[in-house]
Amino acid sequence: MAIEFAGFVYNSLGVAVNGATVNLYDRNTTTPSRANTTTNTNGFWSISHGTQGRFDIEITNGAAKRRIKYDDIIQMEEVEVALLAMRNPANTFKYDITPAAIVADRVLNLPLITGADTLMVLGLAQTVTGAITLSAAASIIMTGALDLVAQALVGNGGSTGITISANGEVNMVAQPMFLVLNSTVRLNVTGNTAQPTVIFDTEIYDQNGDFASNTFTAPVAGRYLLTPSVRLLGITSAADDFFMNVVTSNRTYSAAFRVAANAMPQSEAWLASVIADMDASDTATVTIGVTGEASEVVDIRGGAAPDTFFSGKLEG
Amino acid sequence: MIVFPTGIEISQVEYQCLLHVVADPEQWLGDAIKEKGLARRDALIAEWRPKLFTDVAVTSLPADSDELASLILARSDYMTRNEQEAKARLDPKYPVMDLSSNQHRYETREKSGKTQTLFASGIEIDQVQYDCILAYVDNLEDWIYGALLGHINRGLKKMVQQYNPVLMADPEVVTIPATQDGMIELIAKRNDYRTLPQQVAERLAGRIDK
Repeated sequence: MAIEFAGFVYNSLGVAVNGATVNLYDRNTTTPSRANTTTNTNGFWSISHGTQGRFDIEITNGAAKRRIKYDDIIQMEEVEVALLAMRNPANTFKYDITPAAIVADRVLNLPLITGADTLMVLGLAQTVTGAITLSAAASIIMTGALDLVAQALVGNGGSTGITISANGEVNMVAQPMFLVLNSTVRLNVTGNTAQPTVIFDTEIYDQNGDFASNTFTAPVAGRYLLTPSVRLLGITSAADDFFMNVVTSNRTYSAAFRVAANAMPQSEAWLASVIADMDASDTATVTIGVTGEASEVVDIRGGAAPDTFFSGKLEG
Repeated sequence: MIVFPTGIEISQVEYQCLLHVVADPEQWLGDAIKEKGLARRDALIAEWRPKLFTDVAVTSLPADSDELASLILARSDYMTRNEQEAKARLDPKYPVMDLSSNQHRYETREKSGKTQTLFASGIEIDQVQYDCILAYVDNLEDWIYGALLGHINRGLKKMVQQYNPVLMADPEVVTIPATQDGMIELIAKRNDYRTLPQQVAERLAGRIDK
């Protein structure tokens, strides 16, 4: 991109000088002239030079000579410009700093810094239309409120993450959460020595795709609320004890119901609840067992109306 | 030490499901095992530190987590998960459960077609981390099966959930396979198919409209 130079030449009487010679020299040189022109009847001159660099302007009118030097350094109380251009340290490009189409006088306050810093914080309300990327080392510290009205915070896992409605309801559609049930009666699965894994073959929902083959697999480390409920049928008067176990990779949480020998209720539903610490990729299943029967005669109830089911969610 | 010295075989479709959620399945599984080891090491230390403080025979504790864990693992009163279970089973009322269900799921799952072997030369794990895992987990190989199957399932479900509507809306798609394998293969060969890591990368580059 060419560098543009232009100006007006007037004599000491304020009269425009016509025909003055204007030369463009490299900074602090007198030869060669990189470009030249003459002033017109209005005293106006302009030079467009295609090579980047630092230049002096020398205006000659007869014996009179005036030089506008690149190295000039001045202080002023106030400068008003239509276009402010700042050159990069390598002197190869320039920043053009231009105001938007404001409709009244505005004030741009630069932030207070205590040392060298890069301009980042603006006191003006901003509308960002592109993506803002924060590196892993970056953080956002807010001392005010984050106000999201009917907006979605998109996570890494898909097109929706955290959604806040206009009234403030929060949905977290990628949060691990499931409800599964046993769809049919499982006949003669326990009673004597068998401690089977409870089958949950129907998903009501599995938000993050964490449940399969009667097993929940934790996607991330955390505390998971796990609540199985099992309803049994076919218990006879011979039964003694009932166990329901939430078997996680790290621990087995056992809810036991023990009564006097041969005193188990013959049809009951059992519910357990635990907030289990699970590492990423840990699994959780449910096993049950009834003891005291002569053989495996106890059934696990199941059907479309959930009475044997398993639900869970990531609490934190 | 090395577990799975000859690797873990999965089907090509299962591998595709893994690729939907992780860019490098072996990297992911290796990191998951290491993360498990470190988590259990730290849990072991947190659980045992109060006991060590009250043990008059312990006069100092290592300032290194691995060394501290090794000290705990070497104690005569320390028991692995399996040892704890064996002791509990001395109670005739204690439920006898099969804790190796993940290996059973791996061995009995339906699979077909070409296969892919992960970690053909075995999975290397730090010995201290391995021992710390066994403080809580009865069988590391079974845990690895569970982690692998869980992530394959997660990839499968996310793939189908996202791209089933795309298939239904595509006028050039007349029929959709009635098998999961067929569905995955159909999705994966689409020009507009992107794995989740690819979608994240494109989103960060600003090329996807939300």
